[in-house]
Amino acid sequence: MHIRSLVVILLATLAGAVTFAQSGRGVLKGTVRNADGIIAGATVQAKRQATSEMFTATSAASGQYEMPNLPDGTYEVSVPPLGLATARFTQQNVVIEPGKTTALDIVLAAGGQGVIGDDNAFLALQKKYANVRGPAPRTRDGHPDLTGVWNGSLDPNPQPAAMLPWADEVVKQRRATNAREQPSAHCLPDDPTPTLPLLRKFVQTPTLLVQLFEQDPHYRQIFLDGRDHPKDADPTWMGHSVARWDKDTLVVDSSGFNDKSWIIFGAGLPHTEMLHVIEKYRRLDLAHMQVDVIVEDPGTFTKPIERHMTWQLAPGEDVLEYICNENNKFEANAGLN
Amino acid sequence: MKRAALFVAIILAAVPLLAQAGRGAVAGRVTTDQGDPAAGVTIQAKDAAGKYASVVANKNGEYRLTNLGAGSYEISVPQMGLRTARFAQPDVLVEAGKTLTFDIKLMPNNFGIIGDDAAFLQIYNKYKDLKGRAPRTPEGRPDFSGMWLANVDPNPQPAQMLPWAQKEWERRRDRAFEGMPTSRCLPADPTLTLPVFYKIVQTKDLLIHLFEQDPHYRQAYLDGREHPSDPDPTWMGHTVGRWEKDTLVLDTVGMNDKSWLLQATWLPHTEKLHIIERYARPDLAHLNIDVRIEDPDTFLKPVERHVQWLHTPGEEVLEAVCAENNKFLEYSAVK
Repeated sequence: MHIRSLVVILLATLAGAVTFAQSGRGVLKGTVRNADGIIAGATVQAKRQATSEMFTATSAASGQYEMPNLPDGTYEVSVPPLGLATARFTQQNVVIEPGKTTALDIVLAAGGQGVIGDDNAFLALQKKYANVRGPAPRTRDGHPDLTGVWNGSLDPNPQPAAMLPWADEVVKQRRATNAREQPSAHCLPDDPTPTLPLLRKFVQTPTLLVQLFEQDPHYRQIFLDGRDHPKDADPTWMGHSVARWDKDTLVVDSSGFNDKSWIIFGAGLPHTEMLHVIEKYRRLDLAHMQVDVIVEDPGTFTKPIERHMTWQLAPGEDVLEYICNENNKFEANAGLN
Repeated sequence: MKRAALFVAIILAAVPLLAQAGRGAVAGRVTTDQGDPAAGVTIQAKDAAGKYASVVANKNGEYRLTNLGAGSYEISVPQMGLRTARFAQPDVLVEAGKTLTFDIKLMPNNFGIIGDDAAFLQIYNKYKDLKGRAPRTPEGRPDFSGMWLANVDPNPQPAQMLPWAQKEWERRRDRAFEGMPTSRCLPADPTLTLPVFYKIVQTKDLLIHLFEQDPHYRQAYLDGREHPSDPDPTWMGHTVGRWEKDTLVLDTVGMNDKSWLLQATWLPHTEKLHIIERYARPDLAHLNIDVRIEDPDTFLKPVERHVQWLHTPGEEVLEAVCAENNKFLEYSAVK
């Protein structure tokens, strides 16, 4: 066999493969904006409906995004919510044709509660601290130091909870009444799961992690001193939290909850006193924290609920004093009186 | 020589007799309103010159104040937390060479009815004999971290107020303090003098107080920052701290004018309020705090409180949610 022929054949085969691939691929591009202007740093997701493959791109400073090499097919294009500032965007049946460019400009609607304060400032905070770089700091005892002010975020692709029938009923009821019995509307404590996409401050010592936040009850203690949960804890809104280090991940275990809180921001799920929450905090670098939450409650859910978020450090911010009972207009405005 | 020795011996023997002859004592038993021994409370005898002698009641509530010069005294027992109210009896006559029996029954404090308030004496007595040295941080500073049971100033001096403040304070008193912010689930006193539990979490840059009242925490910045030049007024204000040797000096400004200051007194103030707290930990068990409250638009001179907190390492601040089942408005018929 002639060596040169073999090379030619191989080249022909390779060229054929490339041509074939290109012929099956197209481009998706456009701009991400909201009512106030262009949005940088938004994640645009394209899910190929036939295969469930997920492709992502991030909008540039110009607001433009581009996915230059998508297999042809029909896609669901989405942009997860940015904090409380923007609502989820979803567009079904976006067709990518071989060798063609599909233009899709995306306008994000305001988030349900994106009206005041930090809610609306989410985008500004994200932009302000986009260039914070450095390694994750460590404490004197060698563990990652989670101390700092963190801007929470939402799971980009939250999976719906699989619930027992009673809990499904409760959720339906809550939706039908516009969540008017939500505890925080009545100045009662917020969700014990760290899913509210707002600022919170972590203060870590060798034996304690204190989380400060603006919502009631304003702080939470996580004991790092090796203690166990009390045997028969008095049920509370925030429960009892202990943690241990799994290499560089802090694994927080909470139980001892009452059954009054509505859990998982945006979902407002019910639960029983069997609620068990596991949080895993891993500081990826100076500016980012990976937060994985597993919520178990065999009295409510048919399988554990998970949420996966990446928080951003906001070193120039602080948690502010917030007094819900001062001039709370919810009951008046909701017509509950 | 033998005679001289005898003479000296007689003089030595006579001195104690002479002292006892000019001195008297007060002794008795202190009980709570429930009739339980009020162990651990301090009994004070103030003489005509304003000088105090004091002793702590034993586990049976018994006390004995000895070696008091003959004369008239005010016998008092400072308020203990929110459990017992201050007791004071003026014009108690101590006679030379006699022991006056003086039993004291403490009245409950207005708030001494539930939870930690009622348990104050038990908790206080559980930890009052804790011994040890004050711990230090890795940087060599005193470490104030831990659980503390606060107490009130044993001998608080009345505030001297401008006429408007005096009038406002009398109005509050005459209405049984019904507009007190905490009764409506609004924040407690920014002077942090309420005699309840506090947890201090101290790092190099920050000192946090956690407490059961709204707003549940206060941050004091130890990182050298200044107050903001034009802070948004808040209930707790803006607090920075600096070290003066082993004393931490906390300085707070930027408060709104809504809070009521100092438990049991509930003073008004303006946005000019300026609070200086000096923290020193002389040993493991104690935190001595001097609080100075300035407000030239309210007080004729600064109000001071000198308190001692007790370390209670086995206790914890609990979740307290005021808005949950608050009965104040219902019971007080305030609309």
